Amino acid sequence: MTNGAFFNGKTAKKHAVHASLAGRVLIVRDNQDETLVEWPLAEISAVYDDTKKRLARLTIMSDPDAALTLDDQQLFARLKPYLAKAPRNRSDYGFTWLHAIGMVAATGAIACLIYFTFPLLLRPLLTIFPAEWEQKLGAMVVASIPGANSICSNESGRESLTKLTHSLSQVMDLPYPVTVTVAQMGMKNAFAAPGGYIVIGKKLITEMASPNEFVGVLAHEMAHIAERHPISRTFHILGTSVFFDLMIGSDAAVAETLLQGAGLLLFLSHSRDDEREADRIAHESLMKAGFPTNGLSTLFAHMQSRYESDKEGAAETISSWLRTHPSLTERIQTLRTVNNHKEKPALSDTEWNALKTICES
Amino acid sequence: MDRGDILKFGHNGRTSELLPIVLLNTLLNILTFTIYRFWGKTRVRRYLWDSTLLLGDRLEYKGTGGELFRGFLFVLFAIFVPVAIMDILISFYFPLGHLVHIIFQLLVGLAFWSLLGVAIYRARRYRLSRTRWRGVRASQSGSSFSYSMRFIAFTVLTVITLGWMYPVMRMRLMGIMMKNTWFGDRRFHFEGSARPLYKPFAVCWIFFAGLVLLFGITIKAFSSVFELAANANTMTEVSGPLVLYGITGYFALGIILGVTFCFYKAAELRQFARSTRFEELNFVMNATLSGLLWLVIGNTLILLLTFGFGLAFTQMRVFRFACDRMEASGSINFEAIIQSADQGPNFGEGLADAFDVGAV
Repeated sequence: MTNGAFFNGKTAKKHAVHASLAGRVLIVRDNQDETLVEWPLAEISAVYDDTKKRLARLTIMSDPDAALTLDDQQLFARLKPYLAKAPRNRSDYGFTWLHAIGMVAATGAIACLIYFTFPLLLRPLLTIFPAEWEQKLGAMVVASIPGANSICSNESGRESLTKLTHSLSQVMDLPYPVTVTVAQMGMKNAFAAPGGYIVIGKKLITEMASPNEFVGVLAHEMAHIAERHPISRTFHILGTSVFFDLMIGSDAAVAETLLQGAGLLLFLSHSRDDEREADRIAHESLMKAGFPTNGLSTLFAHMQSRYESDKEGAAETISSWLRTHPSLTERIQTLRTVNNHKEKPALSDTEWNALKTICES
Repeated sequence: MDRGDILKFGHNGRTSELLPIVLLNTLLNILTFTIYRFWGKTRVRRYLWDSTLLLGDRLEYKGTGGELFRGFLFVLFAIFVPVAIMDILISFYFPLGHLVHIIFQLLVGLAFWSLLGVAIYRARRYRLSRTRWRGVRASQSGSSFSYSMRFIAFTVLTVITLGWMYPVMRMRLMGIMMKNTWFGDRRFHFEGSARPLYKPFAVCWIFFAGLVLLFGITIKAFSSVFELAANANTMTEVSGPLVLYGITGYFALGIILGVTFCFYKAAELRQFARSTRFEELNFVMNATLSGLLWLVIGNTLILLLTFGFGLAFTQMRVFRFACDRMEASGSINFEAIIQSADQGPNFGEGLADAFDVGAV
């Protein structure tokens, strides 16, 4: 005989009871020795105290509101082997390792799935994406970059530019015509935006030693357009940021930051793949168009000697994880192996001088 | 039995028992992109409820992580995904800064604001429906939409009256909730006026206004010195202290205001309890200023020092505070209280999760 408390699940009255085992049935009697319930052991489920790992109460599946608490564990030890192993039994433990490991594994699997299927999903999405939307988007991107709209328009300079763009367009598989401009941008850089907009910074041209370097940069940016990288990157950023915003709760600010970081790394890794691809296509196109192919590698080489002389080895590898572009060393090495060593430059001296002074009216 | 006693609440939760749960939850939250939070939260609640005693019997939390997760999915696909898609479509169709963008943002803002009250009310309904004591369920009736409308109306009124409607808003909103709260087949009652709250509120308000005015005037005086500074040297000389004063002043103001407000909040808690009745039971909350200060300052420090991961500890401190200081007196016949027919919602708290209003 064990003392305990019984709640019948119909009223909030607490019954002081004696519980005893008769064969495979648990009999609950009150102080007047009147039988309140008889529970077959096979239908009883035990609810555990999550932290103390002890029995909290017994319930029965046919009447989940009723509950029995026992004052000591002796009777429970005798009941235990016969109790039901119903599914809800397990959730009442509150936590199981199996459950936790399963969740982590599922999350990992979903993350992998997203990582690998995202590029695949992008293709069909791009084919149905209207070209005029892409144009509008591109115009917005260009407008958002400081200086990208202050276009240089010296007539003879533009002729040189058109000549190069035209030659490359003929050998490249472009989804739509490109709009190439040179602009007074604050940064030494060039970029391709959705809708075929390519902007080359005046300051970058100042860095260039030859027209071959210019045509290399141009081919690289046009290769991005040919592969529709700018628009797919836009989708990528949108997709991952929307995904992370929606999934992540604000319970823990640190976890949120960590995971946003994971999303960024994912994006950067795809971005570096894009750059390698653009380098490769640029190289092919330069060959086909009959331009010297060493431009990109010489430009990178003297930019590297100027800006990255102090970085080497391991530091280079680690920091390359955090970049949108592969490291210059890697790109130079890849590009050098396949140079065609053509003698004739991409533009005559007059044409090149005109291009270099495109911003002077 | 159960007649004429003073009913004491008790809480025997321990930090040492909660710690392993919190540590594991933190780890799993990070590993699962925080998707584990629904199960983690459930586990913490189960512990907090289990550690709460009334007349020697524990509260029972019957909710599951799966229910919270389903609530999250529902809100995600019914509200957030459509809004995100609309947002993307609009930014493709119209240039940035177009009127349509502004109208859309405004509409979404308004919709989310009106959902805030719904979120608060529904989260409470879910939690109550998953709470049992002596085998009997609690529940909450009433419309979350009408709660939300009043929430908005009172917020607007409070802003218009420079805060002076705040005590009335608090009492009325609490009243709506309590009057719709049930244990079994019996309803809670809530009757009380905001009048006793106005004395502490006025003290806080005048103190606030004075401090803000003082801060504003000194900053203004400081910056006029700054404008008068003739040359670059005196300028840098003055700007350093000015920025320092601005920043420390801002934080000091925040801390002082938060601490002073506890003076009002303690009175509010006492008034909430005093206005509540269940059957023949009357409630008393012995909330003192020092007790509340200790709770608020401690919880703020815990959250700051654990970068938010220690949320569960602050929740346990709130439970302990309430249980230690609340008592009920009067008579009640528990035998007469019959099980609630209301099983509660099938899933819950998606909105509260999204807006981060879930208190526990």
